[in-house]
Amino acid sequence: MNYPARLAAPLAALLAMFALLPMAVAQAPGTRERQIRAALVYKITRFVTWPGTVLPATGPFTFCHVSDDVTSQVLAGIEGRAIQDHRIRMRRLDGADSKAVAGCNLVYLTGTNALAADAMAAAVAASTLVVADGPRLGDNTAMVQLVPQDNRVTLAVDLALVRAAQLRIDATLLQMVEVRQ
Amino acid sequence: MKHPRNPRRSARALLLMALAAAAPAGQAAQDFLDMDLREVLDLEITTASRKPQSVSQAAAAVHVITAEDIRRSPARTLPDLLRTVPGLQVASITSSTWAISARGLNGRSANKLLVLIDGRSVYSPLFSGVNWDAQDTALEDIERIEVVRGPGGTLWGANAFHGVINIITRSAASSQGTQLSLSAGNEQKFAASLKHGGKAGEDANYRFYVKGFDRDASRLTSTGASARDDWRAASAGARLDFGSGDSNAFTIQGDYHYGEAGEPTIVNLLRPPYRQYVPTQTRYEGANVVGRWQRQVSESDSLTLQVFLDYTHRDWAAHTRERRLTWDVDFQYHLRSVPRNDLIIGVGLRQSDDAFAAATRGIPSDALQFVQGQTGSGVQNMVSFFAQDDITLLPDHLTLTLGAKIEHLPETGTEVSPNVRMLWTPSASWSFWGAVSRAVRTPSRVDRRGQVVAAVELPAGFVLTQPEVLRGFNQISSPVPIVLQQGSGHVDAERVVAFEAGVKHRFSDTLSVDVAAFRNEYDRLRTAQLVPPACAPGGGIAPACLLNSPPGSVQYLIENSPVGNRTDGYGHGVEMAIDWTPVGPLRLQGAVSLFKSLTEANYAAGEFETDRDSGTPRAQWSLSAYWNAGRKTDLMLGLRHVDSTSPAIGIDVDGYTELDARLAWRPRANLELALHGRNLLHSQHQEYASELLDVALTSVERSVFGKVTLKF
Repeated sequence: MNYPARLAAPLAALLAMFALLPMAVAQAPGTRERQIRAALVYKITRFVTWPGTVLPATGPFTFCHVSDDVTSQVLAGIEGRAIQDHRIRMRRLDGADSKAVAGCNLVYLTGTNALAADAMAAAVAASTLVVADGPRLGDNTAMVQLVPQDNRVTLAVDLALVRAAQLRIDATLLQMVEVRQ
Repeated sequence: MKHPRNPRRSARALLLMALAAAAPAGQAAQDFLDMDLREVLDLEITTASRKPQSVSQAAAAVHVITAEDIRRSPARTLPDLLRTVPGLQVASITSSTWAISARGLNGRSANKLLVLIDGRSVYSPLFSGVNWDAQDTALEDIERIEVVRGPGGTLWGANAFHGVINIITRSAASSQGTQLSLSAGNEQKFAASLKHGGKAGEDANYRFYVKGFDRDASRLTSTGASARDDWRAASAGARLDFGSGDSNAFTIQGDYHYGEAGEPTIVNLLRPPYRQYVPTQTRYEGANVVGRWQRQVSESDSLTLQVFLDYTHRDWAAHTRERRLTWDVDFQYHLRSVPRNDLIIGVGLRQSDDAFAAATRGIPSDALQFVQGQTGSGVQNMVSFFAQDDITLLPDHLTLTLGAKIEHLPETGTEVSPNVRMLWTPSASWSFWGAVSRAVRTPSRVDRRGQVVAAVELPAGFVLTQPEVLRGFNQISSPVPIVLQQGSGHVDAERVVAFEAGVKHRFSDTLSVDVAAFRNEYDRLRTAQLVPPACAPGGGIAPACLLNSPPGSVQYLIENSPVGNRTDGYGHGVEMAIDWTPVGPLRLQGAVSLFKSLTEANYAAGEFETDRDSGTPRAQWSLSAYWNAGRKTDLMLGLRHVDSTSPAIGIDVDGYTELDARLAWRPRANLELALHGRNLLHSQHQEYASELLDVALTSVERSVFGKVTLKF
């Protein structure tokens, strides 16, 4: 068997394949990542219990976010779905002050968006779950932080802040995430 | 305090149903929302776009072993990882050889299961089986292993007769950093692996690994002495992923491996002692390179082009020496622009070029080779085409899948493998599915142009003295030895029509159950036929030729059984998997498989089937408990039971129950110390026997080893 001759055809195919490299067309990067992050935020709500006073049995779930246009578009796919039998009402916030977050059951902060200290205090007082997906900006900046790790997105939960907000997180979720006491 | 992403995720892990089918952005977003949290946590951010599908949304019997399962398992080989998969039968023959099958017809040369590593088929065209010793992928680099029981012929090809094992390694982007692992113990004497991943520019990532191990021999069941089947191997590989945004992804990867494994061979001779125990050494090496291009053509459509080259060399003492070069091109197009349709079409070309010689190293020079008629070289070509469409009949509730694969081999013609599947999901927590599919096993190289020496029958009155030697068939009494050989005649494709049904139910976020039932109707399975032996030298039909020849002139008789496709039969069974997290830190996973098969040749015509239906246990179960206490400590206990089997003529193997365990402690985020135990309940136990009677019976020993893993 003449291996060099046999190798020629498949090697040529390999070369031809990678000669196609210049055909690569750039697209807005990170769409998939945004979808995964949005899905994660939606999914963790199954494991959180809000006090009945802030999430009445028949009321909608107000899902607030501070994000750019692309993420807003991704989040639009969640609107109309339900969280614990509450229909999701999506609200995009222009700012992140205490006035803006009033009435939100969840605030999702993307990128470097953050709540000011008074807004965070208001969120805690109103049992609003604050989720952030940007770089960690310090203590008391989010109750749930999305953390990139090994090409995936993982979660870190600030348990003290969650408790202060009178939210309850199921132990099943805590087993899957990093817990910051 | 870092905690691993999550505990075991298999029951809810991702399923890559296609080799690399792609999903449009909008649809993928909805798919992600419909997955459960464990699945979303398992998604790679920058992976080449594929068609993600939840196990609960698959109209097939699927089990997924995730990277986390592998990390927490005490198993250090692929076969050992597969032991707890429902519906899969895994049994050790020697320290480096296994019989592995899905849904029956198991054996050393089990030939009805397709195994893919990153889309590269690793079944050997020589006997249509898998050399499991050579599949030495670094376990730490495996992203997940998807096991699909039942014919998967539509998407994967001719050998996915009883199932497909799809091993998918991590992308380079998710293998960043350096990891060193060292382990040592009584059976796993020493193992080391080093892997490293990094970035090579903005959109490019790479990883490489080197690993090696030295494993101790098992025990001869007959004498308790060492079976001298100790096993040493080393491998190295690298992968480069690069692309541009979300629309193009390229992968180039390759591996090289070399190994040496002892085998307690029983060789056949035409002189006393006729059957002789001879410890031998098998040497094997291989190299492969894979190139893959995935492109998002539009919002809805994508394509994948994959090319691979695979070289293998195996010097299998007393059996054959084989060199093989395979190249393969696969193209797939995934189209979702037609409303309610999700269509994948593909075409594949393969050429496999081989060269054979007698493997005489370390055995008596006059020993008969088990595989004969193979010297010289040959080329096998295959062309295949497939199309599969998931048609949404009722959005979110009812999906019909229609598919067919057409394969053409010059020597066997064209074979069609159609399948039809229905998935009904009345709610997010219930799914019911059913399928009818047809699959074929195309004849192997040995089937078409080879003979197998099954055994040498002893002459009347001769007594074996070596306790290791299996006696053989001993059907008739003759003054001279009789060589039993199979292989004249013609083997055509074997066929199965499989009827499958299943239900998957998620009772809550912590409890899910998956039940599948199947019936396989076999048609045209391989047979051999008993014929009167002929005198050698001289020819003529025994016993007349013996009586008419001068005394002493006939040295042996040879019975060359013609092969064909005259066995029919069935196999049916039920498989159940349960996944339960009763309290936060404790996770339980259980699996039960019940199985029965019956294959029958036309015994009246002297025909017999060459696959043994009695080589598969009627029942097997496993129960694994994962305890994740205090985040720094993991404990895993796994109990498994396998019923008795009769893997070869005259050899019955008792059922056994065994316990595996792993205790790991992470004093620092980058350091893990683990103690692994396998087969802890017995000092040794036998699991199987080679149906060819070419290997002395061996027993697997209790194994304990420690492992240190350091990341930096």
